Amino acid sequence: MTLALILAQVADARDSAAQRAWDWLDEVGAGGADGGGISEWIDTGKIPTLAAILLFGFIMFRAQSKAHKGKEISIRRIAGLDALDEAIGRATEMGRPVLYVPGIDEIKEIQTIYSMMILRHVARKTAEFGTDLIVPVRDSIVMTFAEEAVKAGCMDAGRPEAFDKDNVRYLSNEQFAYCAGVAGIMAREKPAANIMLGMFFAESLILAETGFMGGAIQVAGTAKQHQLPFFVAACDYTIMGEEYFAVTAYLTREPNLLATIHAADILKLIGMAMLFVGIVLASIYAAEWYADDMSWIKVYHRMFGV
Amino acid sequence: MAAIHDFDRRWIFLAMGVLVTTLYTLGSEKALTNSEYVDSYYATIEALPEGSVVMLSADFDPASAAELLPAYTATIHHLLKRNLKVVNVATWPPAPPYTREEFYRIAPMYGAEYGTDWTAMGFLPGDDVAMGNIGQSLRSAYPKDDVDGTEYDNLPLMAGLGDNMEGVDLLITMSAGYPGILEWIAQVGGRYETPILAATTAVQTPDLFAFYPNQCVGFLGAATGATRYLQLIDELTDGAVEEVKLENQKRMMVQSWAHMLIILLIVVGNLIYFFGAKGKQGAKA
Amino acid sequence: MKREIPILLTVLCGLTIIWSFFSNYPKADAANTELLQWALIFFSVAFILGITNLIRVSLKQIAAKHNDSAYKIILLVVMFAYLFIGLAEQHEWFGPGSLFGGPGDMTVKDWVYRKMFIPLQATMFSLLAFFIASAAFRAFRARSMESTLLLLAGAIVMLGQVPLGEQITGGLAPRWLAFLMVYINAAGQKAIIIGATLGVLATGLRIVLGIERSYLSE
Repeated sequence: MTLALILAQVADARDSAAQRAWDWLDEVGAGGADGGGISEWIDTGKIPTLAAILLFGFIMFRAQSKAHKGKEISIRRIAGLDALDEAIGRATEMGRPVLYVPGIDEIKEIQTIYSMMILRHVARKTAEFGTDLIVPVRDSIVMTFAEEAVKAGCMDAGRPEAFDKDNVRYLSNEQFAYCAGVAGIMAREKPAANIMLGMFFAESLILAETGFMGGAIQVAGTAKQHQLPFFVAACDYTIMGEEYFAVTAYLTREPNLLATIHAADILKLIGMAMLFVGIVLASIYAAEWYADDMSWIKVYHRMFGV
Repeated sequence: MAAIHDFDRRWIFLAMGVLVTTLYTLGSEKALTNSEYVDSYYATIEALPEGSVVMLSADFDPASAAELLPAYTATIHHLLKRNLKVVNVATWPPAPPYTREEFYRIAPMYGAEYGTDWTAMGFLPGDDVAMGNIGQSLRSAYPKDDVDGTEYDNLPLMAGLGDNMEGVDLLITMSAGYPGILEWIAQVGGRYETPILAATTAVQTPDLFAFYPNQCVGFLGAATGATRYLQLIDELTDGAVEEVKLENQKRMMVQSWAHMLIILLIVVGNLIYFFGAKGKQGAKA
Repeated sequence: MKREIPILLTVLCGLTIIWSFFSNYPKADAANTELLQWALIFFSVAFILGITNLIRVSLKQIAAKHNDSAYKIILLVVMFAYLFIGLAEQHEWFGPGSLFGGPGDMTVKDWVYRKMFIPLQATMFSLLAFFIASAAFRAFRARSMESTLLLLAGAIVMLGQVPLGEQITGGLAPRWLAFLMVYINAAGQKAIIIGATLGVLATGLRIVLGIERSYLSE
């Protein structure tokens, strides 16, 4: 009897909380662009997106703070990254240059920004080993970033004289003209190692196959999912999807970067949990197993439309 | 494995070249069966009331014209046949010459007048930023058209369209990559809830299954989708697209045999690999 | 200040654009549009940097009588010639049907574009057909469970996309293809998109908040 009473009270509290949520949704939805209320200042349809971003930011900063305090964050081994050093070493032994292709997208693409970070690491290695590094670029602004990255890499290695401005080359803004230019560099300068990291499109297979025919060891990486099969087929090592965003953290082991990877993993776990809960709730709603009076099922349906 | 690595690839290139050239020259067509996604593309256009405004975005270049130009041509035929108004935009710089030529050729067949029934606003630089601008305000994105610099307000079709895609009933994109369908979904479909149709290259087609049927209500995947669509509208347009349809059906037969060649190469490669591995094991024993 | 000003600009511009995405306030859109217009102008001006680099590297290689200096000469000649043709088109001497105009109703620029640029682009793209055949021969091996699955998926897609495949498999290939695309491919694509987006979100947040400063070579 007591248990039934308690359960009934819990159910009442749950339903009244759901009713309060429903009333709040009415309140924030009221007014519209012409009227008053919160929707004059903020697009209420995007509140879930804002909440997700704030949550992610909070998790990221907490992870960074823990990382700075010394918390150990591990990253699993990524074969393609271990191969980077091997590729550069091979090029040094053969006395041939390393070719670094930073993708074909502009600097506003996050993959290109990551590519510049990795380029600095590669430039440091090639400067240490005394190997030439050729960086053909498709975009003028990426060219300036690439020059800075290579210069910084050479300075990191303590060999600023190793920086050769002419090895960072702007070829063309046209996709296939750039592709033809890079293929030409591969055919004429015969690099021993091709490192292709960034955003790629249709030219990915042409570059990878041309590089293979030239006998170079090839390490490629992109988060562009439709080019991954071509790289997997034609390159020796491929860094796929999210692994690409872990490259800089893996190479530098910097706490901020490791914390970001850790935060992304936590958010993925939250996402998976929400996915599971959402599947259950959507299934219950579709099967009409809920009661007619107010419930969280109805609130969920109103917020997410499923 | 050494046999595979030492094998001169030029034999494969030669085989592919001879196969494609021979089959294309001899030529035979075969009709394709329907597909849900193409049917959905067709039905969405059919469902629009006469006089509805469609924004047609040319997001391709000559490299992908072989796959997308037939779809583009077919779409123009379908839209003008149904007396729909078409606003032509482009986010890839090489696209406008194609887009205008096709309209100049096709519009007179349906009595469509420039400025009233269709407009060509041209290329807008900025990739997805440009798409955002178009979505926010067509007037500020395109103060003049791309044909002869006519002011926006002097084009009757454009003057009736407002900000935030107001007045645009459907967006169709011929998407070859970036910027393309995914960026349109993010910049326009998601913000203004404009229904979107797409024709894409083969490489990009797998992306669209994740967005169908919510963000992208129908699509033509690669040349196969374009051919199916041409088959659907051939009768509707009184045979105006028959030549293009037959050409595409011929290309599909050539593509079929090219795929068979690739499958054969995979099988041969695996046989060499397995028998080569067994041979090595035997030698070790 | 050499360091602080770029960081401050990055933070202000990033937050303005984020605010305009979430806000219904009318001025938010205007600020966003203005910033995006400035970005377009910068990108256009930056083009000159690339051209300068291209000319400098090419001239150096020509002067050093590099192996491929002939190609560099061709590149520079074609680049300046097309630039001249494009600019000169505005003059009546170079318009369609004029003294130095192109054949028929085409300008010289149009003629070069249609007869040279378009076929060259199409040619480069068509290389993919040959390269995919050679890559498939070399790399598609059933040496592990994952590679076998990749192989089978590729075969199903190739058969399902074309009429001959449908004929050979008695109409089953398109159904297998549809199943693969709608369930397996869509699920995988969504997962990769979510993962990649989180990576993009993380870096974007760090850049906008001024935490990530690699663009300053720090």
